[in-house]
Amino acid sequence: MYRSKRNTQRLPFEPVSDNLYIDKLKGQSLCDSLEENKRMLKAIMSDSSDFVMREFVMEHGPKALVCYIDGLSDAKSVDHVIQSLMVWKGEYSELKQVKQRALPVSQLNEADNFGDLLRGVLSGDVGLLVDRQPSALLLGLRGPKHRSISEPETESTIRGPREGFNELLRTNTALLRRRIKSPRLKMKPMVIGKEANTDIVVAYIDGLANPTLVEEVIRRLENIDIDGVLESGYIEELIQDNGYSPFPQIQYTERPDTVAAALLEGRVAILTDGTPYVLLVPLTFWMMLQANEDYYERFLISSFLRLGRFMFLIIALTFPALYIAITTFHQEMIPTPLLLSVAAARESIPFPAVIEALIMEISFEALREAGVRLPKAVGQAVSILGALVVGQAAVQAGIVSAPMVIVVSITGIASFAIPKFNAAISVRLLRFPLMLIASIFGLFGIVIGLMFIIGHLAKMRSFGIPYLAPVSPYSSDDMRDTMVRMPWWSMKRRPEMFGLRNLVRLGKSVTETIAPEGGQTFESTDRNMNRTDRNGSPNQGDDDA
Amino acid sequence: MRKVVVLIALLATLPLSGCWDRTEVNDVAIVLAMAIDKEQDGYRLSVIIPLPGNLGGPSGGGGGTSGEKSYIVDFDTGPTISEASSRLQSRLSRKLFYAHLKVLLIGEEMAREGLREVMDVMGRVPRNRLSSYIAVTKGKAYDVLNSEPHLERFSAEKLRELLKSDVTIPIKIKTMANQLNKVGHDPILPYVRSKRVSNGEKHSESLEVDGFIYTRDGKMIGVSEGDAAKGVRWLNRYNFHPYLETVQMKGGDVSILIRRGSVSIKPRVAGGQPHFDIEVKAEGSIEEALDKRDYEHETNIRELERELEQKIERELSAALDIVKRQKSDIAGFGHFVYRTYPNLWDGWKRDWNERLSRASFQITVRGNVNRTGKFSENIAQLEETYE
Repeated sequence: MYRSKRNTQRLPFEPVSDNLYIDKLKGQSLCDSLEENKRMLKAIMSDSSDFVMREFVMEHGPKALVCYIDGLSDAKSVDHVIQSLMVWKGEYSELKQVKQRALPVSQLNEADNFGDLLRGVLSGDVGLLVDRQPSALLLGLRGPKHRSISEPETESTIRGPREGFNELLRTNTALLRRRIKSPRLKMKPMVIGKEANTDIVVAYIDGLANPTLVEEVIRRLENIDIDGVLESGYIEELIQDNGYSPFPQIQYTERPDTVAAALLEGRVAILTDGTPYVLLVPLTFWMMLQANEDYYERFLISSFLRLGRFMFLIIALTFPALYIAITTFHQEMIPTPLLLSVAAARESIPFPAVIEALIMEISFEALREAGVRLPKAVGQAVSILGALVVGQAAVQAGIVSAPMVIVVSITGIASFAIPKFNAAISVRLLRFPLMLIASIFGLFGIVIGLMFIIGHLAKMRSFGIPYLAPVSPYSSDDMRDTMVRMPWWSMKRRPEMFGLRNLVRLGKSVTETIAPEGGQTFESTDRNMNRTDRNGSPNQGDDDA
Repeated sequence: MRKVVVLIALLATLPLSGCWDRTEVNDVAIVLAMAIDKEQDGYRLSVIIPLPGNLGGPSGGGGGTSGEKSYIVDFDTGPTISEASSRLQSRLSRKLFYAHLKVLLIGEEMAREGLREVMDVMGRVPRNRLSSYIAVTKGKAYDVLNSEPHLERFSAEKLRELLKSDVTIPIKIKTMANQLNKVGHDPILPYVRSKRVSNGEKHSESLEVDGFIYTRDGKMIGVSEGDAAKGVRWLNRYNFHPYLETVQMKGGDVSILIRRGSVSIKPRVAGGQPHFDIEVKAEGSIEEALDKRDYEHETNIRELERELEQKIERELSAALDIVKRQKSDIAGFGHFVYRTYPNLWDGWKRDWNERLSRASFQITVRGNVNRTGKFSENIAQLEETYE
């Protein structure tokens, strides 16, 4: 086919950059000649110093070639494979024999075009080409070098698993599978990004998740046409319902237990290679106030904390605005001694309350931002500066009043008490327009502002689920796990708002034996003890417990 | 694009309104109490305004230590109270702010002229609080406002604490206004005056709430003090406030804290004139007994109770004397008639206060001393009487 001389040999296609997309390479099938294939690979992977090709001869067979990306594949395993092929004494007639007898590798794929071959190689597989074979083998010898599983830093808990996702998709799917050992857990692979070819996995529990939801997620993911996805945030913004809303419509987490719990409620997870953050859809407003620990701690405590968080949310959103409105418009609303204290503190302040509040809020945001970005060693300096300069000195200098510092601090702390970071940011953001409107219209303005926010929330949907569900539209069953968390034995059904096919979560036997209706009591311990002693049989109470 | 234009246009209307009633806290003069006096050329309005600068701000340390006063008292006159306020305002750099009014003081002269005039501005202007306490002062209300506050920072605060305490019956502006706008209950108001306490060399002057003024047709006509004031307390059946009653026993005086009490007033018609059966139940505990008796014995307690009943009866008679002679319906007898005999009331209400003087009263008092304290007799009592 290719008769031209070596130097001027023509390739079946132009190796210009436009043709080097994986999709286009899929059209180029491998040919019989190893030499030809090698030249093709060389041309395609030109100027790639990390691309390794190694040619060798099998004992009783033809020439072969392995190629891989240095650093992505495990070089030791590659050596091992080459060795076993070199010394293999079997009769060679076709590739199948090598596959079956000579390759000590569990993950084997076949590729018959350059697209598939390179897709595998660039992901860390090792390509094996054999002369006179129009197909290549992809050996799954991906390198193990990666950040180990560690505790998730953004979502730490007191009680609960300490594992967090890491940047490797395979680890993440494994962590998930470890929690849900069921063939019903499906992990649909996808590739997004023309240049970066990022691996995506859509995970859901078949038979539980609403199939229309799964279809919708996949449809939206397929529609993404972007050069690369470096973080799940790209996907989040590309598939969310309401692009301009300040509120998050897709949850992210780096905790496998959170993802598993979501899957069990019929939600869908999107895992992205290269980031520990897994997306969960759909998301409702109330989930922003829920932490995974709510389900591990006993229900009274969890419910108390949840109600507290709801209060913190309101404080974080409205407290500075209320302070401005009341001190500049409605002085009659606060008790006289408090008003006198505020008046005394504000006596020497040169700014109106709203300017004062903006100064403090903005410097607080600056402090927070600086604290996040700076290296840890410098971070301490920031906190000292913040505490001394912004806190104490500003008050002593008479630039801001002490009550304002208190208001801003409480607001800041309250915003940190919201478990979902992205929700906390959106609340912090909305605080500023509320402050401005409060400075113009007072309480009336705050009410108007809140009405706009609530109206917006009520209108919004996340993958078809109303954002305020289950409060609006109301569902009494789902309310058991919204503002409060009812005990596990009383949450017999899964949330109905997701339109699940199977709502029963707790088996009948559990609810009948554990639910304390009818007041199940144990016999007095003394009598039990006596009986056990005499019969030598274990305590009866144990069965019930 | 169109949407954005509309949005910007809508947002642009926001600053148009401006911040028309925005007032910073340090631009208002918080009026804690006001006093209204009658003058030749109309009314004199006096206000007490705290000075936040002297209250101990962030760098000031403890307030009031510098010796500077933490408040000012200022006044002006005018044909109406609002006019006086506006004249006063023209001399103040901060806006007078009446929403935190704690106490409204009315001078005696003013109260005798009539209380209804004062109520107009209090109810008409929404900034004024109807929940402020109200009292009548002996002499000029201005002087009371200007008196030295002991224990508190402002005389207003002191007055408020006094007027809501057990010392008197707390009466708010709205209570009084409600009584004024109907026949059948003439309001009473606490009576405030400065009292001079002296031990020869040193003397101090402080405010005291003692007794009540009583009114007829919205005008003050007199002051009830001493026994009559206690009788007035009994007849006004507001939430019962404990008070101390001292009765004379053979061996010495005994003070009894009346902790609980109830009054029932039942109207009847007797000989074409109103008649009221008043039944008082008083429950108290011994606070101090100087008559050297051991109150462990029931007979002693019975004796004490009888004495207490007579004391309360005397007080009630004194109060009812006011009703009959001054024709002031201090207890709302008219309302009882109205509720029991609505048809009769239609004829009576025209000359109710006159008719009160012909009314008859039947008083029954039940005293009950059910606690003698931690010890039933003086702990320093010689034990020879022990048996």
